[in-house]
Order: sequence, then structure tokens, then C-alpha cells
Amino acid sequence: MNVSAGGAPPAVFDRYRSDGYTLFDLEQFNGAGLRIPAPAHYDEMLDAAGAVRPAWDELATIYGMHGDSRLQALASRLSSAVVDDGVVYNAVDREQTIARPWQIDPVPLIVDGVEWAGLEKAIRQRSMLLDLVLADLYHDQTLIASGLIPPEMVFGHPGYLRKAARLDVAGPHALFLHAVDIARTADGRHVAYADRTQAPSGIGYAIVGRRLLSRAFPQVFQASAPRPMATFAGTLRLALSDYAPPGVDDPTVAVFSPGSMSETAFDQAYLASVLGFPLVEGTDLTVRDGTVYMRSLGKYKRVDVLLRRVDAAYADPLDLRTDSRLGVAGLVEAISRGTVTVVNTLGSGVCENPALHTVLDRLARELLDEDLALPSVPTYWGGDERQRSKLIADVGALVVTNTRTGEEVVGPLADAATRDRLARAIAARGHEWVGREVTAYSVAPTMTPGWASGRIGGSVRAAPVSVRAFSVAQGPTYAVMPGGLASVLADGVGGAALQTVAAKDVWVTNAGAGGHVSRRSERRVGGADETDVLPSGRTMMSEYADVAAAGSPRVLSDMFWLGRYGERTEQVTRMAKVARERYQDFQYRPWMNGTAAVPLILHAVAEVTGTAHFLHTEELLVADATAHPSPEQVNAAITRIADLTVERQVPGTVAYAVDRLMSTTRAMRDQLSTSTWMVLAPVERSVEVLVEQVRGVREAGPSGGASTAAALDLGPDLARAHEEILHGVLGLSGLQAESMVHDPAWLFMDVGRRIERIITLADLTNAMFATARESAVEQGLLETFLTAGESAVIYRRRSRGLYRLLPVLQLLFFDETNPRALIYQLDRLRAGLSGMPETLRSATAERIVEELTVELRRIDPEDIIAVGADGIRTDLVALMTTLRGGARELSDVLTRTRFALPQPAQPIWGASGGDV
Amino acid sequence: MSARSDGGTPGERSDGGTPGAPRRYRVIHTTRYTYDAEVSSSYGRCYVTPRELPSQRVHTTAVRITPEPDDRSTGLDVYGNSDTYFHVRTPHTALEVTGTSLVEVDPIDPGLLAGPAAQLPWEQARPRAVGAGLVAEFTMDLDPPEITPAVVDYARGVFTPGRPVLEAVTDLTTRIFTDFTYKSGATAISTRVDAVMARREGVCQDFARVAIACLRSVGLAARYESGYLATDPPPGRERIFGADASHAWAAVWLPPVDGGAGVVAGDGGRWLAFDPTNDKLVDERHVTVAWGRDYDDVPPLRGVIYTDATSSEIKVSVDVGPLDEIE
Repeated sequence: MNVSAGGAPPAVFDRYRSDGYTLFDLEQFNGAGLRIPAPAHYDEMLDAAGAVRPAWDELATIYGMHGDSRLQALASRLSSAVVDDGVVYNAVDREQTIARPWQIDPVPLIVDGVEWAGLEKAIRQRSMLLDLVLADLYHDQTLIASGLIPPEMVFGHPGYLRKAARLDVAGPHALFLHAVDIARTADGRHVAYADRTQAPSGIGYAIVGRRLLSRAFPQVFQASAPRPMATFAGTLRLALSDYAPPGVDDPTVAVFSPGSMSETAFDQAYLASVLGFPLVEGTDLTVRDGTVYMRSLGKYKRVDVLLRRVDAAYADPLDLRTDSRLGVAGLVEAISRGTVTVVNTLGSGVCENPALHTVLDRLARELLDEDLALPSVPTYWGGDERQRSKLIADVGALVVTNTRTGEEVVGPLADAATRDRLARAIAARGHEWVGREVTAYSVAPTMTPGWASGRIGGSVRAAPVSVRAFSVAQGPTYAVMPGGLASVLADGVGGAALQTVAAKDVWVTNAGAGGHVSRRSERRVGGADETDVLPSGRTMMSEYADVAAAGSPRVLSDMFWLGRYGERTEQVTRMAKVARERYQDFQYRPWMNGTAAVPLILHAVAEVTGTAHFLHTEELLVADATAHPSPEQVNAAITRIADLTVERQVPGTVAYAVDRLMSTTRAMRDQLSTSTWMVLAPVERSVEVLVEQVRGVREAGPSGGASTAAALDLGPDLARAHEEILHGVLGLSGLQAESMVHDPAWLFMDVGRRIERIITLADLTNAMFATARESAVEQGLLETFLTAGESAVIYRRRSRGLYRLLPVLQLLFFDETNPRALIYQLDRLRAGLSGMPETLRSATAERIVEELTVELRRIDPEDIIAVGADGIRTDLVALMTTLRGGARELSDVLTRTRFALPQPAQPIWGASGGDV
Repeated sequence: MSARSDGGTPGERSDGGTPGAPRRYRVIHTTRYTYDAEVSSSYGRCYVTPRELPSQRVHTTAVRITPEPDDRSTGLDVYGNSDTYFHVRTPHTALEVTGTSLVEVDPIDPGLLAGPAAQLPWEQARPRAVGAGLVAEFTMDLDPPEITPAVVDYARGVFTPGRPVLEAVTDLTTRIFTDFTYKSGATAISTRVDAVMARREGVCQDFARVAIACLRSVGLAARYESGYLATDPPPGRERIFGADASHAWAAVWLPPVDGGAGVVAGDGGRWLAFDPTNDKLVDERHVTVAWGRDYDDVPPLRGVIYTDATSSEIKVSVDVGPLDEIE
């Protein structure tokens, strides 16, 4: 049943072949009025006779042994691993950035080692060629003067930056990092679809993809033993150091990122942590005396090399785009003085112009005296008269791109009006337009469902694929990553425009002297999990990044808010949980005393979280302390607790806190333990699930409201969600305590947590005990208060019998050994603030903590429980108000003085606009 | 107040000076910004140093910046213009940049006007037609585009088939001078050429940009030039210091020609500068500072400031003093 090399593929591939040959919907082509013969595909896995190619043998065999159901299980294991590792792609939709789980196909693309060797050589040649082009365009421009490159291809391309002219690179190559999107045509030849030279993305994804796949499919990974790609990161790391300005022996390198809201933020942060370099943003950097510095822990640290991921045009608001908020003023000046190396160089994006495809063949012969080994996809450029005619005539059969605006139209999918408009636009401004041929790219097995066809995922099917290959300057030549980041392309003509559905790992088999080697020792690879160790022996994926390397105000601020949001999530969840439990107690024990306390508790929780107005919890309060809540009242309360949990747009809810926690965490991915995602992913998932459940109940209920029965059904769902969220955030605080270096940035996180805890406790105390209530009610409140403050068990052990306010407050205010007590928070604040390095210490902040401590210690506990004539505990209210006010002030002081980003940058003519 | 040059008020034809002789000037160009709150850090780059040219010699030149910058440098940009970079870290509420230069400018080269290049049919002056790849940069439209149907129409009336390039450019200069009204404050730096075409009013920069768009629309190479214009006081009145302003005009490329007046391939050739604001060719009364594709390549001063200030005020003064008067 399982067939070895050279035989027909096993049964799991049954659908592969039947689908493989209807990928291109012929009507799409015919609809375009074209007579394209039924497109043939090159098949990556099967040869012309339908037999499995040798390189694919292990995979086909093992997949065959697994069978469909086992493969599906492995695939779902892979997708939960993606979530657990927090691998995301940011979908940018107008103003909003949404982090979506990254899509990685469970089937790798296998490339025969011998074939790859040839491809690698071709990629290297293409990098060398573009390097010569780039160097010339920013220096002598002889290629333009001699007519080899038409001037419009350069001067009319937005990637050409005049401010970058004559900026030198401290190394032998002008082009440092090059990525090229490669696909294979029906005749089996590889073609370059696009070159990425601006700031290529995907190396981080490629490395994480390999990691995930090797873990999810250890057996096939060991059997296939692909060439490890993590070594490429080592090569990149060395190359970055090599390109440091002259005279710098031990360069400081940083990854220059546009921030956590950019599409490939994960890729940037992951690459930074793999390389072991800090991830910096424009606000972390400043130029002084023509030199780039990063702000770190209140000091300035010189930066020698920046691996640039910010688009060049945005890299410097002084000399480039004035409206950029991502850049560093003076960066162009620093580069021109040779004090910093920025790679890829500013202006390198000019080599991305696909119009260059039309001249590269000739350039290769002129500059290298070689034929172009990796040809480009047939391309027509509107700047050339003859090609323009072809472009206009065939506009419906090409992928048409405007290189100035980025507009791209897949001709066969465009309607007649669009084609007419394009034809006119091309006629008017031809040099801005290129057309790339639509062709059927090679197919390979995938388990990612198709878009257009709406197939159900699971079984292996065929889909077109492409590979993004990477090469980095290495001495006089280039080093190519063994493998790359492949894409499962969209079915139909979309795939011909390289529209991607999912990423795919690339496994290059080891090339032996006699071609493909079908069996080898498993020792050839490190194990199921590809080793992530650099040649230097430095661990690449340390459990926590070197936080000290990046202690900019932005990072400190993120840490602070990580502390606050982590604590806030815990507190809100705990309070929602306690309120829910009290209501549920009543369902089962309606005879219990202190009934009136129950709505009071929920109202207090709502007040503390600031959601009382939104939830209308006041309506639930009952005058008669002995009346039992009706089922309708319980229902109404449960519904509100559900809202308190899931309404993510409303500040104060659990979901709101979770969202803030997650986005803060993602913003500082490079600073955190990789286990963070394992702990937090279930939290996010749990909220999602509950949101769906609540919506379901809403829709089922009469007139949009939840029915009593349905609301009661929500009880267990809420309980589960609250438990899961608490699990996660407690795990997070465990990681923070035990898996992170307690460095200055960590201290800020802890300070954030303490501030949040003081504010919540003070607010809850006021909400529950400002007004004295009858004993039975107060009993209920005290019990809840202790539970919310995680101190119920110890209280019961110490004070058997009734709940009394004085001992409860003593435990939660003054007990220095209780980590939930106010005094404990103040002690930790004092220790944290005075433990900072001198440059970060704040006398004001320390004074605030000192005053609050004095205030708390000075008070006589008997006084604060005293009730005035009006039934109010005036001293208690005053003390709580002082503490919450002090904690807020402390937060403000730190925000103002320690997390302050540079003042807002403006054009020199001021904020009033450019037209003064 | 405007940061934009509104100098070169039209109609102030020169009557003084000896035509045909080089003239010397002391140019003082001051830009002063005042802010309503403290600026903690200010980065700037300015183009206020006149170019050294075959027809223009710069004897002395200096840029003074107050407060004293913590860091400054000078260098040449991609077009060979001299720029000054500075970084002021002293907290300030006013920033002043002053360029002072002693310059000698030659009159227009009669050989250029009478020479065969200027008499070529304008079609033959198109860089793409003669394989001048580098000059072709100046034929390209800006991003976002400025060559609109209105521009194309306007240029079509000027560039009739076979018309000698000098004649056509002189006509374009005169037409813009005639058809457009000089009006300070009517436009801003961000005003697009199309809007100027529609309003038929603007300042020197607008007229230069209209001319440039017209030239490029027919495939000619055109560049934007910034500088100063010496104006003479009305007869009987004393010259008022600082009354002049910075100025801008355009230039068109003329291809190199051989002895037999045939066009030679390549990026040689000469540029013919003309001043549509004053309906004249650029001569010994124009001091050239910098050139580029557009204003944005060579603004007198651009920069980034770090401040909470919400408003600012700018004061610009330019004085082009004939040197003989000063000495």
C-alpha cells in the first residue's frame, strides 16, 4: 500500500491529482477573450509519469502511513502551535491593525538538493547583478548615461532617493540583503517574479516556520533531513557586524522597526531576537553630533549598524518625508558622515522596479559577461514604445502594475471598464506601468484550503507555489539561505500575480555527489527541533531577550503597562468571577442570609471597573435586605456579568483589559519569554469563545435579550472563561517573577503592577465599605472582599468566626507579609524605585511613595472603621482617596518623566501647517 | 507672513548699472522663526549658499545660525548645490539662519543666445531625442503629477512644430508674465500647478513651476532654480535694506552642438535660465543659489523641531546690495 520512491503516490494524495489539473478555471481565461491553451503545470512532487520524485519520497511515504485522519490531527497541532507561539500577521485595514494567526501550510515544499545548488548559483548571480546596478545608480550613473537603463526606470521610480546619492556603504556590496520571489513555469524553469531590495521581509517567518513544522512533524522532518536554515541567521549576524563603520570593532547593531502595528511586526521582532539584537523604533533613536544613539535606561548608547525595516522614504523626517513619524531626524546626515551603516541602504528600493526585468538580460551580459541564470517572468514596460503597444493590447492578459502608486490589476480578472481605463493610463504615462505575464506556476501538495473553490481543508490537494529566497552579502559574493519562505498561492489567475494564501516551509534535501541521497543517518540534523544556535555558540532563542540592550523610554513604558494591564486583567476577572459566584450561590441556596449584599457586590465591582453606568447595575439594587432575588433578577445580573466580561469596546471590562494586555505584549515581543504566548494564547481564545457564546445566547433570546434559561446556561460558560483567563494571567505573573531578569525594565513592570493593585483595592474598599450597612449585608461584602483580595483562606484560618471589618482591613491594608496588602505594595514600590540605576531614579516618585507609606502607617485602624452620624466611614474614605490619588500621581510622574517620548517632532515652520 | 519668496516683484526693470559688465553684490538672506513655546531641539538643512558657476563667482560666503548649533556641516547634494546641516540643542524660542555672500555675476553670454543650440527646433532639444539619459531626469513629471490637461494645452500654443527653442521659451516667459497676475499670498508652497493655472495668479515660485510643467509636458528638460534678484530703488529714493526677497525662476536644457550645428549625443549642453515673473532671461541681476527638479529639492530652509509649541511666526529678509555702494 505504501509505495516507495518512483512509484505512484499513496492514497492520501488521491485528491491531489484530480484537483491538480483544474486549478486554472479555463473560463476565466476565455472570459478575457484570450485563447490560452489549457495550462499545464509543472508538478513539484510528481514526475510526468505520475511517479513521486525521489526528493519527495520520504514525505510521500510517511504521509501515506499517517493517513488522512492522522495528518489532520498533525495539521491542527501545527495551527495550535502557531497560536501558542504567538506567531501573527498584522492585517492592516484602514486605520486598524488586527493581529491574525499566521497561516503556515502543514506540507513543506521539498526541493532537491542538486536542483537547489543550481538555483542558489543563479540567485547569487542575480544579487551580484542588482548590486552593481544599485552601486552605479547612486554614484556615476553610467548605466543611464550609456543607455543600458532607460532614465525613466530610475528617475521615475519612487524608490530612487536623490538624498541617498553618493552615500557609501561600509562594505564591498551596495546591496546588502536581497530577496527574490521565484516561481516555476510549466517547462520546469525557475523565473524571478519580483526582487525585494527595499527592506525584505520574511526571514523571521521562514525561521519560525521551520521551527513549527519540525516540531509538528518530527518523523518526516528527521527522515527528510532538510538543510538547516537557522545558520543563515548566523551569516546575517556576521555580515551586519562586518558592515559596521570603519574603526568600530565591537559594533552595536539594532533592528530598526516601524513598530508593532506594521504588517510584518512579528517577522521583525522575531528576527531581532534570533539575531540577538535589540528591536528599536524611531522614537528610541536620536542623532547627535552626526552620530546615531539609542536611548537606553536614561543614557545614550551609540548605534553602529541598523538593519532597516522602515521604508527608506520614512527613515528621516529632516531630509526625506517630512510627515514621517517613524524616522530619525538627521539619519541621512549621520550616514553621509559615515558614523552609521544602514542596510539596506536608503534608496535601495529602486531595484524593486519590475521594469528592470526588461533590461537585466542585457545588463548581465554587459556587466558580468554572463547570461542571466535566473531569468525574470516575461515583463513589458510602458516606457518603451514597442512594449507599450503590447502592454496596452494585452492588458487583459497581464498582471498590470503601476510602479509609482503601487496599483496592481490582474488583467484577466478585470472588467472591460477597468481595462479601458488602464489602457488610457498606460498610453498617457507609460513609464509608470509594467505588465507581467500570467502563467501557470508549478503545483505542490498543500493542506491549506483554497480560497476560490471553497474546498474543505484536510486532504492534501495541489496548489501553485512560489518561493521567496534570501541572499545576504558575504565577502566578495553572497550567501543564500538554504531554503526560504514559500507561498501557497491562490487558485486561478490570482496565483499568477503571486497572491498568497499561506506560507510554506522549504526543505532543501542534502545534495550528495551522486545527486539525491535517499537515506542518511538521523544524526545529520540536530534532532526534531532544528537547533537555533549561532556558530558563535550564542543561544539564539533565549528564553528572554537581553532587555538591558533596549531600555528606551518606549520599552520602559511598555513594560510598565504590561505590569498594569496584567494586574488589571487579573483583578477585573477575579471580581467578575466573585460576583458571578455570589449570584449562583443564590440559585442553589436562596435561604442564605444577606441577600441584599449580592446586587451590592455586583454594583461595587461595576463601580470599581467604571462600568456601572454602562451596565446599569444600580437597577439591580434592592431595598429589602431579606428579599430573595427572583429568577429574572438573577438572569439580569448574569447577563450583566457576561457584558462585564465580553464587551471589548467598553473600558473596564475583562475583554478590554485582555485586548490591551495582548497588544502591549505583542508590542514588546522581543523582550519577553517565548513561553508568554503559551500562557496568554488561551486567555485570548477564551475571550473569543465566550464572545461567541454570549452572542449565541443573545440571538436565541426573545427580542434580542437573553431568555432566563439561556442566561442561566451562560453561567458555566462564564465560569470556564473566568477560570481560563485567571489561569493565564497567573501564569503570566509567574513567568514575570521567575522567567525574566529582574533588571530596570522589569522593575518598571513591577511598579506598574503595584500601582494597579493599590488603585483597585482602594476603589473596591470605598465601593463596599464607605457606607456602613447592616451586619448580614456587611458579612457578605466582607467575604467577597477577602475573596477578591485573595485573602479569604488566611483570614478564615486566623480569625475563626464572623467576618469583621477591622481584622479584614488589617489583613488587606497593614499586613506586611500579605502580598495583596496595601503596605506590601508600597514596600515593593519603594524597593523598586530606589533599586533603579541612578539615571532612572526619580526623587518625586520616591517621595510620593514615602508620603503614602507614612499616611498608611500613621492611621489608627480603629479610626478608619468608625462610622459617622451620616453612616459614612469618613476616615476610611479619606485614606482610600489619598492612596488612589497618590498611586495615580505616581503613574503620571513616571509617564511624564521616565516614559516621555521626545517632544513631538514638527516641521521647522511649526505645527500650524506647511503654508505659513 | 510668508516663508515663500515673494520677491522679484514684476515690472521693476533695471535701469541702473552698466549693461554688459559683471556686477558684484553682497547678499544677506535671513530667515527667523519665533515659536510660542520652547523648542528643545532643532534639526535643519538650508540652501542659502550661492553656487560657483562659469558665469558666477562666489568670493566669500558664510552661514550664521543662532542659537549656535551644537553640530553643523556643509556638503554638496546630488545636483552639486551647497547645503548646510545644523542641529541646535540649546533650548530656544527663536531660530535665525543668515546666509551672507559676496558674489560676482556675469551678464548673459551672447554666444548662448546667438549660438546654434538656441536656434534649434525645440523638438531637437528634447534629451530623449538626443540620448541625454541623465538630463532626462529633468523631463520627468513630479510625484504627484503636475502635468495636467491645462498645462498641456497651454504649452501646445507655445511649442508649435519646428519653432526655434529660444523663441519658444522667450514666448513662454512673456505669456506667463502677461497671462498671470503677481499676487503675494494668493498661493502657498503646496499649491499645485493646476490650481495656479486655474487662478492665473501667484508668486515667482508658482510662475517658475508653471513654466517647468509646460516644458516637461513637451519633453524638454526643465529645472527649478532658486536665488536672488537685485532690484534698484525707484529713482530719487534710497535703497531700503532688506526690501528684496528670495526669488525663483526656471531653466531649459539646450543640447550640445558640433561645429556644423548638428546635435551631439550625450549629457553635455547648456542650460538657459529665464524669469517668467519679470519677463526676461536670467542675467547679471540674478544670483543663483541652487537648482533641482522643484522647490522641494532646494528650499532655503527645511527642518524638524521638537517642541510643544503650537504656532510659529516667520520673518524673511533678503538684501542684495550692489557692492560698490557698500564699499
